[in-house]
Amino acid sequence: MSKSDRRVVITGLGAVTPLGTGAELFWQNLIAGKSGVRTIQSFDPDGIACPIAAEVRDYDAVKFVKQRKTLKLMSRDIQLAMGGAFMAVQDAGIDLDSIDKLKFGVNYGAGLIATEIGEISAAVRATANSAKEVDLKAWGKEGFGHLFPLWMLKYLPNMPACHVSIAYDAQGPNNSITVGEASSTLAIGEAFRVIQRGTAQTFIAGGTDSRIHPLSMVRLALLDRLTKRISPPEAAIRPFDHRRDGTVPGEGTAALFLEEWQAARQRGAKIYGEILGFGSACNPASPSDSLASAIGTALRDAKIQPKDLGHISAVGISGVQEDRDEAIALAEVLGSDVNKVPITAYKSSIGSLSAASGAVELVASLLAMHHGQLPAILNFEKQSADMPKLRLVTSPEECPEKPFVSVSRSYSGQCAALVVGPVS
Amino acid sequence: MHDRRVVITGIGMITPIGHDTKSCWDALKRGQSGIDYITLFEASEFPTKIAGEVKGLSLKSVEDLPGDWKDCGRNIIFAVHAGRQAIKDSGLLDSPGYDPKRCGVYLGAGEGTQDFQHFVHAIAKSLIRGNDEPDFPKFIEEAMHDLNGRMEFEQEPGMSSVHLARLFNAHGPNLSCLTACAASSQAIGEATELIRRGDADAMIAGGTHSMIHPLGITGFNLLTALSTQNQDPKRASRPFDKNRSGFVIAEGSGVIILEEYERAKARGARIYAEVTGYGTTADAFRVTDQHPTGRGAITCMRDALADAGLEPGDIHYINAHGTSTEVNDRVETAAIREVWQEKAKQVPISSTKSMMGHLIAAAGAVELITCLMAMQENVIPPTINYETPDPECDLDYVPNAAREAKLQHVLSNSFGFGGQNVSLVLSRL
Amino acid sequence: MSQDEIFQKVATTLVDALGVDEDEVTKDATLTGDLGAESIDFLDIVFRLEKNFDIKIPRGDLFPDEKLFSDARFVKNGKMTAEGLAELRQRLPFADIDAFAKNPSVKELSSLYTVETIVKYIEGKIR
Repeated sequence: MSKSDRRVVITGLGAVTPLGTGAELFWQNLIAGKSGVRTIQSFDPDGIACPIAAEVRDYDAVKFVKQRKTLKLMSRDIQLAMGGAFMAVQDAGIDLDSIDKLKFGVNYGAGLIATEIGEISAAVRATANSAKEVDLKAWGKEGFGHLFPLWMLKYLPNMPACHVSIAYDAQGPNNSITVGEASSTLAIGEAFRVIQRGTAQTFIAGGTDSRIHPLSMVRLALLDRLTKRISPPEAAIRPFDHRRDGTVPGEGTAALFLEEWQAARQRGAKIYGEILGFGSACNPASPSDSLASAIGTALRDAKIQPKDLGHISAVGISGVQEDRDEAIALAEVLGSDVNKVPITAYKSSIGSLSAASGAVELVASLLAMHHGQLPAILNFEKQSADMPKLRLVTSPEECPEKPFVSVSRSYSGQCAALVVGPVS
Repeated sequence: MHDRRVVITGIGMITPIGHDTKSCWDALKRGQSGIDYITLFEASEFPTKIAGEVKGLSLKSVEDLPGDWKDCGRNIIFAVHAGRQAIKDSGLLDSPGYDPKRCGVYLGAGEGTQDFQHFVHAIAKSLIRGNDEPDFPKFIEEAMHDLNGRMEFEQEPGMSSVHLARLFNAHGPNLSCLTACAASSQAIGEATELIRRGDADAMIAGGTHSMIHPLGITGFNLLTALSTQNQDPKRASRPFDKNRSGFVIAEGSGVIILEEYERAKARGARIYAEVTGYGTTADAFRVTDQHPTGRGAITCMRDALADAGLEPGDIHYINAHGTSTEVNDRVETAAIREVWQEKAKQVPISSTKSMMGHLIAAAGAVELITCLMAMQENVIPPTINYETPDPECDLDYVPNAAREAKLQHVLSNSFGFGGQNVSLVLSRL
Repeated sequence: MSQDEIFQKVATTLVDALGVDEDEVTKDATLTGDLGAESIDFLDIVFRLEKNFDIKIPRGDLFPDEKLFSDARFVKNGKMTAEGLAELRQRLPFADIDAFAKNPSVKELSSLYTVETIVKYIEGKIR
């Protein structure tokens, strides 16, 4: 930490998850051991070997979007983001008129947003030949008339952060991190740094993603990342378990309201925790090295020893190779404390929320610390023998009010870790 | 002054006007346009039939590097091509004591080109109900059969930065952002901050993008953002000219090597310039419209100047965002006028998009490299196609011919669709 | 189609495009001032009108190209010249140019476009 660094605290949480809309409802279902994984409802998934997912089913964007007409510019990912941001701002209980809007930033982790098929199907139908191939001359001549003219704006990954900035007049630094499953941890980490260095004082930071889309699911299926253990759906995803065989996609968003510590203290804000450290790394040839390096860097940045940790929120994506790599990394980082630090993995309850994972999982860990209870890894029978033994949380246990690490990793190997703890 | 200063020790680029920095720079000085008719797909019936394509690029340019490139899109090939130039130019990897964990990657990188034909073919086959409602199981069946999973995965915008980490042994912080047209400038700014703070000692930073594909052109055409002056491609991109009529899309990549100054000096690296200022703001106004006063642009230029400890009058050249759209060029001019006040007419401003077109996420990086070359040779590249003055754009745009000028400090602007603004200041050591 | 039917359909179009309530869409409501339209919304309105009325609206036909207003022949000191007003009359026969001519400031141009203007345009198209 550099001397002049400002301290950064979390004063508001917002979440839309497969376990419910609102951070508190999410928490209650999470600690109760419920699973958000079910058979896909939003489209007919017949034909995909894995027709299950963790869908958000109780969300109505209209409640959270003040400027109603902007809804037409919002894909599912963006609509979800608006809800998370709204609730984080509400939860922070801040009078936004009282803050410097030029020092109010937004940073979101976002994914590659797939276009809604029904939105371009009319253009395809009008221009496909008898072999069902689209003739680009016809597309140029007639296709355009069938396309919503603002279509592209729904799918640009910087749009969640753009719409949030407009809704809350956040004129400070505004970024969108697109690093797959590591995106929102990196986004929150970057927001942390921007406040530390004094460029901003307040941030809405988080992530949003929905991969529950026929094309996104096909992509995951083609890469053989999805579980084949589809029945019952709630038992499909099993981080670190000996019977894990792939992941389950989900959708959701979470936003954190971040403030410079002094400012939060002065206004008497309730403080969920303080961001203490951040690290990221990527060595594509060695995922376990990258993970260990990111976590190690974050711990050093926070000046925290493994023995001081209350828990770790692991990536735990339920991949055969991915979980093994992670266990090796965690064992290396924890050293002799490997059998002391409890490790949980929320994806067992909510699936992989892709670019939103890190933010939603960080909210889960903050609430665990806040409530003093640590949710268990669902569907866990026994740890597979091919990896170092970890102290995995197999039934809910007490969560000490101590710093924790939240870890994220993209399939392509980018790793990120945040250390967050109670404010001292 | 920051405790840890950040300098640029290597550069590389590939654009419509050249496959390496030297050829791009020579073309820029000559005022050569890289805009021509689209050849990457059949665009003859599109409203816009022109773009700045990187011509003559083949997988051969990277095939000697380890990796399987056939499933990678042009965006990745561009990034690797520019990245290896920059790495070689810097000599970073051969420096004694090089620590991979202290070197990271931060790109403003676009998504890969979608497999349009297979995607729409699957949609066409799914329209079995006699209306526009797709049958999803049919779509899934077709897509599972036709799409290549690896190719789909490589379209993720974060992939370019992974490839660079792998190829160039850079295992530190690895990020990728996509803030539309501001992305690579933002990546360079945040990478600079990572080194300043001590999170890394060196960063490979920049951007890459190609949106010259059916859906990309369709999307921008629908928004009426692109120039449709198809009759004379080389004159279509005309920033600040009264008859400008939209931007001209282009593709390519720019990559630079950022290093902590003391380390760069100690290893005897060639130093192009120091990144002295970084400002970043959001308009927070509308999804596509810039705020009419240019408030976001004004603050971000002022922030960058303050970060560099400079006054507006210290800047010897502004590389404008200058997209050649009606609104950007007017608002950017107004913003410069507001920041520079009575000195606004004295600072030379040019938009190299007049020659290279608009590389979207990669635009900021290639334009920053342009600034570095300008500082090296004390030559300001022109704004070409500047013919008819616009009363609303009344500053010195270095029209049509390069100009010699001693350049100590320069500023580069990038403003994104969605309201993200970035300004970077470079200073000669 | 009666004028009233056209109005109803235009109103539905604007409710969808601008996210406004039906009772806000009165005949004399202006698109920008009263209904909050911004530049990209005009593209959307044209697209929806084409679909809902099954007509083709060439670019610049309903909402003129911005270029018109930066042309020195037509605009001086932020006001439309006589030549500019004549051009508007010719291009936009469905709009109430007389009312606009009283204070032909370019800034007021958006007030030219009321819900009624759209209704009149559609009437001309489908008759």
